[in-house]
Amino acid sequence: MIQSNLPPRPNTDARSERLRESPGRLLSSCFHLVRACLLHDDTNQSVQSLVGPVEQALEDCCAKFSTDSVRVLFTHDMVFMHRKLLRASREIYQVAQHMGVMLDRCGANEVHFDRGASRSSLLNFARFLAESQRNPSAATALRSALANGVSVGHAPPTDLDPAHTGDESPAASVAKSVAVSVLLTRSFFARLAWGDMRGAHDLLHTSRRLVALHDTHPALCVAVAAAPCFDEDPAKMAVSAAILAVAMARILTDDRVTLASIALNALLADSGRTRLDASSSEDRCASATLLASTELGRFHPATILRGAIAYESLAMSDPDLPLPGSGTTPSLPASILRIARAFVALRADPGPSPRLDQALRSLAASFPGQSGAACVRLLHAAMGILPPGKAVLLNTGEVAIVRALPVRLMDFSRPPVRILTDDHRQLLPVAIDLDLAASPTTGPPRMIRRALAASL
Amino acid sequence: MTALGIDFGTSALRAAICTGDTTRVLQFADGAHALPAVVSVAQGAFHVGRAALARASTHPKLTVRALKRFLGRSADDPLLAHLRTMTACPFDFDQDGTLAFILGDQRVGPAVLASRLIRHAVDLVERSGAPRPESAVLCVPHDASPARRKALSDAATCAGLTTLQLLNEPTATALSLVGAGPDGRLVAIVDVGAGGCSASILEVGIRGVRLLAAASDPIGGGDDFDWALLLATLRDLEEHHGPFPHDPSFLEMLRQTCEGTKRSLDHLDVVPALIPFLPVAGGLTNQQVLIGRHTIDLLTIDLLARVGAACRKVADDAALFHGSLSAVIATGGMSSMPVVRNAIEAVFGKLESRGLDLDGSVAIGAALHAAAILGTIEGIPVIDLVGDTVPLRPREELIAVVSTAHEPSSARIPIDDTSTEFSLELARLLAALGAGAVSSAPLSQRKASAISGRIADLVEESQPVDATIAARRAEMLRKLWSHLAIVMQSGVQCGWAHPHAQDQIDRVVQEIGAATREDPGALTWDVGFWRFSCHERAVWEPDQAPWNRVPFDLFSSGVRKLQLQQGLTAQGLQTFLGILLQDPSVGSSPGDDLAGALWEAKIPHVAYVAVDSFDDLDDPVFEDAWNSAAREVDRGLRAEVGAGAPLDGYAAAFHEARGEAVAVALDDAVNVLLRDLIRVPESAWFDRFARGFLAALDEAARQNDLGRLWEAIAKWACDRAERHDAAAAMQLIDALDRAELARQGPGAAREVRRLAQRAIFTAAWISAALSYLGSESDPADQDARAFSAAVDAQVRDTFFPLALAKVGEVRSNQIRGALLQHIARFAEDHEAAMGELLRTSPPEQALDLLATLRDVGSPEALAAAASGLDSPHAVVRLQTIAWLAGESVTVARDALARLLEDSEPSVRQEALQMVSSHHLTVAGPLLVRRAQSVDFDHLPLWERKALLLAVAALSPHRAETLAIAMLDKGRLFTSEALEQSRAIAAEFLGESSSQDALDALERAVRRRWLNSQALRNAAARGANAVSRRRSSRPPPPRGTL
Repeated sequence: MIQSNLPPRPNTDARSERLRESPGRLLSSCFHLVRACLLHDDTNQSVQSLVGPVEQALEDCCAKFSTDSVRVLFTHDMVFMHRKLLRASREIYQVAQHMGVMLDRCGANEVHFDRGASRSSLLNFARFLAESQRNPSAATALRSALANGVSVGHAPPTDLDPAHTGDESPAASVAKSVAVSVLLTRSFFARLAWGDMRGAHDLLHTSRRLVALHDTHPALCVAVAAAPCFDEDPAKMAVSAAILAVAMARILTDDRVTLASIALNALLADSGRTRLDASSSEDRCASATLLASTELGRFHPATILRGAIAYESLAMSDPDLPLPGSGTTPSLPASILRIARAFVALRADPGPSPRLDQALRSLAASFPGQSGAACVRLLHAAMGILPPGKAVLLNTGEVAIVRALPVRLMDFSRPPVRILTDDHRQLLPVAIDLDLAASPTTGPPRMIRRALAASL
Repeated sequence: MTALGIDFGTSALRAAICTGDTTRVLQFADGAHALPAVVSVAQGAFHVGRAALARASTHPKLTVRALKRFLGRSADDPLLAHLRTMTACPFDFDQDGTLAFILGDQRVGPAVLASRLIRHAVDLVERSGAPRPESAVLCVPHDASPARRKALSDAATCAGLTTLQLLNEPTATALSLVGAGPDGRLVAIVDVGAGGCSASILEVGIRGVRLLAAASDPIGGGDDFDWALLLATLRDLEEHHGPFPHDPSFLEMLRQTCEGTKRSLDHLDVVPALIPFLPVAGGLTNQQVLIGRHTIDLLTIDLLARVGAACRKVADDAALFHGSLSAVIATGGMSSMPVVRNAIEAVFGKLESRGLDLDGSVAIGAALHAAAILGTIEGIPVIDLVGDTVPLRPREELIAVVSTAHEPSSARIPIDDTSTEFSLELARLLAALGAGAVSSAPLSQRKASAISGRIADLVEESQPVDATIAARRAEMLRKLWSHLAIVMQSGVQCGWAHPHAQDQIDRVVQEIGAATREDPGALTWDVGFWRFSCHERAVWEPDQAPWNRVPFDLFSSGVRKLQLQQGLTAQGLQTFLGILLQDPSVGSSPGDDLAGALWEAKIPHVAYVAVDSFDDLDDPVFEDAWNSAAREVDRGLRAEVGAGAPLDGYAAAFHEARGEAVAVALDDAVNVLLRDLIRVPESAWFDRFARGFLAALDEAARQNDLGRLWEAIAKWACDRAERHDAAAAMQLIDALDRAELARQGPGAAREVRRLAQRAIFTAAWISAALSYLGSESDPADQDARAFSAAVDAQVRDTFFPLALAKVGEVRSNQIRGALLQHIARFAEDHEAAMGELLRTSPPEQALDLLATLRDVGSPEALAAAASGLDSPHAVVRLQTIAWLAGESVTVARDALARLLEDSEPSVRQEALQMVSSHHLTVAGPLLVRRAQSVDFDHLPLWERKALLLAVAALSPHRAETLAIAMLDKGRLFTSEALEQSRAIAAEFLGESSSQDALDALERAVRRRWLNSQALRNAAARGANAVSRRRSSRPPPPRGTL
């Protein structure tokens, strides 16, 4: 778990505002500098005075993205700043598009600004870009003169097809999306540990991405999330918990606001720990998480929902217990989140990796109440597994009992079973134990066709 | 040596020759500079030009029009199917797939026919006295295929000419302009001819001509347009006369009529057209029909779209910078149509055709180039596609030429040192760009990139949409959006629940259903910076706030395409429009935008494409991290899935298994219960949040973060207030109160409420709430309650100026009361400001201020209240006087005196009433003096009465004495005014019951010379009344005197 002791943060609202607007400011200040260069020479006072704002905007932009350089890409009719679509006012966007047109005349579509770009580099860039508007051959000078701090380039053309995934297999696609989510979450936690609250909206996008991913590849998503963790990486655990919680909630609702909110809660669940001692109680973690969740970005209805779920999922030890200081039980989203986190924590046990059935059994023991049991069953359902003892009809017409959970999630529909009857429903003299996941030596593979109402 | 240049057009051939330094366009026998590109065969002989055209209606099957369109076409060319419907002359294909016309018993290829036209031109040159040309430069469309280029070259050979070069038509036009302007200028040339349209951007100057970009469309030109007009006229004729046989001869005549009509409709709204030999009613008849401009307008929709698309494409390809074009030139027969010119101007700006021989510009350019190649004139470098090179995209053409610049074949083009240097530099630059050397080191080696985002359920087109469908869809969308704009307006103005808005939504939903029933992808449009468009046609381009925000907000949040599908419900449409109207800058978190809102809403039958990020895997830092994470994830996945395990059918099997597992895990009752529980209503979250929030408060106190926590809540509350939801803040505060009550008891709850109110109800919140509550006469109880609580919670006077400024404007008593309460609380130390405001305030506000100042009662308040005497409103001045009378007699009396002498009667009237109603005794002497003054009789009647009554209100006895004196004031030379005053006094005394009054009245009743009849009558009435009153009075108690 993340632990740190940090001094109180200064009030940085004005700075946050400045950083938020920095991408647009960088583009507009650059544009104004280039325009000034079109009219005047470098010694002109107005040209000189316009370099400073570019420097400042660049510094802010680097701080915003926590990088040492900023890359601006102009493609199709879009502008991407540091890989993200530029979100700015209409005026800024127009200026940005003009910049794109200017660059395009030089055969380029991207600019790379280094944080340490000198004043003269910025001025040179503007000078040569301005010159190249009049004289295409100046593009060469643009190339050679910008070695220090600012460079232009040409990104290869791309399809404007957001759904395009190339030749990726579903597994690769899921791995990629989950990996990106883990990265972003890890980066957010790292910032948070240093008291930097920015980047919460990255997680908002991540939560939506996970919900969408689950809609597209539910099986693989759940398999990834339920896989044993080989380390206690909080980011990976948070992402896994988010996927599982979404999978559980998805059975009950397709409301994306609720699902995304649950996913975001799972991602943010440990955000409060960053400012606590290792010895702090769980109650304090809950309060601290709600505190962080309220402070992150602007407070709004979704924050209320998020804060409440986060608090309830952390503050209770059992979903059936009333909340501290109240007579109510936690909400269902909070219970789902609690179960998902507990399951992931079990799978990340640093000891010998627990088997799936062991983890689920342990989970059921931890949440003995009705509400807890219902949520554990919901987790079973989310993973598509049938509980041991369930009577099933096989594709061969035989009736069997599920003996245990499959060893691997991949075999969710092929658990070890005990076949009780033949295909005419006649009891066999001796029951046959069979692992459906094992390849049959003879005959067609047996699979579960459906569950039967009766159970043993 | 004659340098010949030939422009082989679809409708006509033009030729120019360059002899010495003179260039001229050939004039044909009929005086025209164009030879119709028509060839007809008659008994083995070939007729060309006008002669052939004349035979077209009598021998349609032996006449070939639009010859250029057939040149070099093979059997598999899709355009031929289109051309076959338009030509009467039969054609088929040889075994090698080459096209041949069947002209009677001859099979003739189009190249041979074309050669007849070229030969005709060559003959004409010779006949004109110039040496017979042996070679020529011929012009072709820039996108002509090698086969077509070869076919034209073959035609020239067949005509006895050597092809010096095949020059692109726009380049030829540009060459004709070389000397007409400064060097290096950018020119756009748009050719809208019979065979389609093309647009090109060229850099033109004496140092060279460079084709920078070109785009074209072979469909929709004048030839197709004439045919479409013919079909439209045919439809009209058949509607009137019933079906008739479509004889080729008749069709040809009709076509020629349509061609003439089209030209006339350039400047007329309706043109009568004579249709000869109409085969109806078993015979032939001549009919006159009227063809209107609207028919032309309808038919030009497609053409305009194609012209616009070509222009836009070429502008994009040339990376045209706004204002960088020096000239825009339109050529071709169809470019004379105003609508076509408008379409071009819409993209490039104002057209210019001065100094350009539009008819012969291509031929002249070709002739000049021919002369340059032949060495008769000094040439200029032409960077263009040459000879039989495979056509490439314009930018690649550039590379092709530059890269072959030093090959012998290009040596024909004279290139001076400067241009060579330029070409080499260009080649180096292009090579460097190709190798990525222009990029900086981290960007030098490019890997796969992709634009990532969301694409939700979009109905994809299985095949490209043709122009007709595109035009129909655009029109449909344009209508739909005009309706949707009205619906949105109604929704904003009346609210979505209003029957009017609902009715409109229902109608639009029906419209959407009808449009998508047969064409599922019909309602798909692109989201642009300013507008919505469909196939390059604008369908909604709002220019007024707030609607003009909608396209940009969608655009900036990454949405690029939207689609409404069959099955969209009224509720879905309402949600969709609600999202479009959201202002992302208000009340949403930084990560929220319209794309997110669309995703979250998941509206059935509304699809969209949204862009989110540019996933560039070229950033080494990002790539390393990504690879590492992906490896880890993959490891976990493989551990579960199994290395190399087949994934086919995994998803389907999982879906099935999960269905079973859900059924097993949750029985129906539990399932229903959980589905219900997962959706906690928003209001319930307040209470749940409040419980956690109280704990978070404790934690924030520990972390020294209380300020930030409350600040976040305060911002939210302020946002809500800005969105006309003042009650939300109160809801949260109540929830906190309840939670703390349950946790710690009433004392702690009160403290939490106090803290919360102070933190949330900032001056900004009050200002936001007041901005909408102030204009409501009957605000919602919850809102008003929240506002009152907010005002009440203020512990400092930061809000005082606003309250002071707004108190007079609010319409609701409840809100005004709260403001006044606040003003009263903090009036101390703000008296001067209140006094200032008092001078200019409207009456109601001023009276409230006065009352507040009176409550304060300090000397400063008194001084401030005196400002009320300067108020333009009499009531304020009077009220001020009323108050000051008790505090500062002199000031009050002086002010009252001014009021009583005010020139405005209504002011004087109000002043008198004020004296009565407020019992301003300070005014007594003033009034008496006024009643006794000589001017009294000249006052209006009502004022004299009112004055007397005012005195009576202050002191009845004094008033009676005054009236008696007035009544007794008879004069020898009386006046009507005096007698009126005395009558008033008599009337006044008539209300009395004293003996003195009765005596005075009786004196006035007497018939004496100084008592007028009117006075005596009034006095008699008064005396009677007094007598009756006195006689009816009970006798005084015994023992009293």
